Amino acid sequence: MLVKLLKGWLMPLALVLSILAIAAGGWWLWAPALGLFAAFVLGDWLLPRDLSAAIESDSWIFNVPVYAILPLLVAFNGLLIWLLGSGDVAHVGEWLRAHSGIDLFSAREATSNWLQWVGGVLSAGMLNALAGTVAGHELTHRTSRPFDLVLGRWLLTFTADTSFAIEHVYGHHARVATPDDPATARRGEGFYAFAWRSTIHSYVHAYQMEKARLVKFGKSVWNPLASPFMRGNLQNLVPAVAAFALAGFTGVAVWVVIALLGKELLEIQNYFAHYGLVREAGKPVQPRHSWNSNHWMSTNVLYSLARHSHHHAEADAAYWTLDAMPEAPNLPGGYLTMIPVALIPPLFKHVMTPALNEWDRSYATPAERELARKASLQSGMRGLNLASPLAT
Amino acid sequence: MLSNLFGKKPASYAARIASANVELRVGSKETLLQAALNQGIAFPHDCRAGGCGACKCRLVKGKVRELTDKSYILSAEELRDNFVLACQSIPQSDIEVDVQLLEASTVAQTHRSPGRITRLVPLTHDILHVALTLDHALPFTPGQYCELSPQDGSAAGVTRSYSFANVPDANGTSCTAEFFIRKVPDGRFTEWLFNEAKTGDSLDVTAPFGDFVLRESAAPMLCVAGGSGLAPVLSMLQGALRSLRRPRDVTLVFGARSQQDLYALDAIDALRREWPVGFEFVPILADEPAGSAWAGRRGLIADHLADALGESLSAQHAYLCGPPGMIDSCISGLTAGGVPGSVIHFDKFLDQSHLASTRKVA
Repeated sequence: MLVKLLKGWLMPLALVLSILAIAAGGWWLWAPALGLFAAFVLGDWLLPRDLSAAIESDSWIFNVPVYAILPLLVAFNGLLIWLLGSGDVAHVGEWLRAHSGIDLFSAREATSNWLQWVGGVLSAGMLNALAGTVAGHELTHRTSRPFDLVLGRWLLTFTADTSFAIEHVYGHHARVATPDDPATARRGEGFYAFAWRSTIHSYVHAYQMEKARLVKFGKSVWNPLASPFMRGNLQNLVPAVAAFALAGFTGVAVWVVIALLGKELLEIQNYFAHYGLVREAGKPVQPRHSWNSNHWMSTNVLYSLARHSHHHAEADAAYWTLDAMPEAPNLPGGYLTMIPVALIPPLFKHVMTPALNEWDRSYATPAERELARKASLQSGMRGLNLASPLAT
Repeated sequence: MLSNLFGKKPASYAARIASANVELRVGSKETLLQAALNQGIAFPHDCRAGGCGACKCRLVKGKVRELTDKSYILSAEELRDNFVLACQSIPQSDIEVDVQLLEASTVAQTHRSPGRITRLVPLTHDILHVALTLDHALPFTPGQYCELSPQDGSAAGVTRSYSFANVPDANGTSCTAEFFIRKVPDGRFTEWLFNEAKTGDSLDVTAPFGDFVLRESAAPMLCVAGGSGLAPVLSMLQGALRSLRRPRDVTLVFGARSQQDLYALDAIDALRREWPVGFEFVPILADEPAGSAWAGRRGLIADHLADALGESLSAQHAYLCGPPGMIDSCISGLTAGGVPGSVIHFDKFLDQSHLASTRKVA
């Protein structure tokens, strides 16, 4: 139990180290991006698989590290945009210099090269995706707990993606692994095509669902008092306004890049989590309808998001109660390792083709084999065995 | 402390399903659907995640806490009429709901198919492994049984009931039927099967019967099988390996007379290795000769339950299959150990000597 609890603090720890790197300025802006990337790929590769048992507990103590993500992300992004500006809003810089050893003014001076800023933007995009959307995802599933829901939606503003809280829970989870789900990648669909389709259609679907829901009460989807969709749109503006206060229009422009980068990093996870899987619409979602991973870093840093098979079979289960399910269909690599792999479509298809063949052969029901066969025919991919519904 | 101060919440509430005249208890942390399914009530459902609306029902009386926002799923009329999703509703008081229950599996339509024996292999000195190939696939759920009627020979016209030992395909039917059949002294059917029957012989098979099936739950499972009662239990566990949404710890107790009466140990071992969470196998021998090399448990199953399961006994959901004496003593032991009767499921094997009116023989 203690070990599980400590694993929950890996993400806040990564954030604290990242904040210190940003506060140092200069080339240190690259440190979070490079450090996270190296730690994840090497950790997934070298550490043993994590098959540890779920913890049957409803203790609040597991929530503390998830709740800690929001203030840490505010600090991280705030510092970064502060460095970009020239003023000192609310005398934060002076206060820090007086009360801690941190000298933001010299950090700002050290950050003069545009290439340093590329690192800063990459670092922020990665952290907002890995910490913000992952913790936001965990919390927005807790639809019976208003505090968690509110916190979750604010975490999603770091990727300008508050509609995720509607579409993911009420759309994606109901329609996963069917053609109607924008967040399920089809066989043969490359990441870049998927990213457009998923980003746009998910947003539109959130709007449609919210509109259809509010019509039942005679309310407008544009009314922020009634509509979580509209409220989310306004919430997404708050970080941009803060960026303006810290660094003017340059701050806003950089913020937009950071938020969109984070959003598209989330789409990579969407991309491979159900890639090519099929389900009969209306049949219960089973563990076989998600790609699972038990790689150590992916499982533990991402609040068991990699235990995706159990997550989709039981969507309201908290992260520490999820099982490893090594018998579920497993990705060839860890969740975090699959991110760079997905960015190279030929490589991604190369590693997923045998995984899909295995899924068709060992996991699919006869009806799903028929769907899989059609999907394979439409995919244009070579190397897929056409599943026969009669095969056993 | 605070709960003492403000009056403790009851551990469960009553839920009445008026249309079916059924009342059940729902635990304070349980959804209405979980409780109904755990207690074998055929509540309509599908996704169990608040996404499909199949479990919607009208809340006639009482209060529930709802886990998700039902207004994405239900229509304006349903919202106005106070419909709720059973899979997302935790009662906060005694409640009454209006819903049309599904037909229970016991009254589901049965199907008949001719079959031919493809396998007749002894498992022990008095238990045969029998496999049939069916002309038409028959539907069944692991744990259910069928009726067998030999077409020729000395048992022609006799009908006996046996539980399936195999699992159906993913679509719930199977073209093969397997059984573990124990010899009944002077029994007409088994005398024929053990002495006359050969591969290729014809039997008529009618299925499915019985409500001894796995109920969806996260609670640990205690499976107790006596002799040929292992058949439906193995079927149930092998089926669960494929379809369980959430793996549950299993304790499988297998009662036999002596070491030579144990069988299917390879299949049990394979299950144990593939089972994703805890799987404990506890063989118990009733008549093993004193002084033999057997280091395991000896005696009656009921006497070992408390010791074998320890503190987890009261949390178990039990599935018992075997002779009447074993079932009755296990139920007493489980009830004394704090297991509620509503989560003890059993299938009693009776032979023709027990009662003329009973159908089930092994």
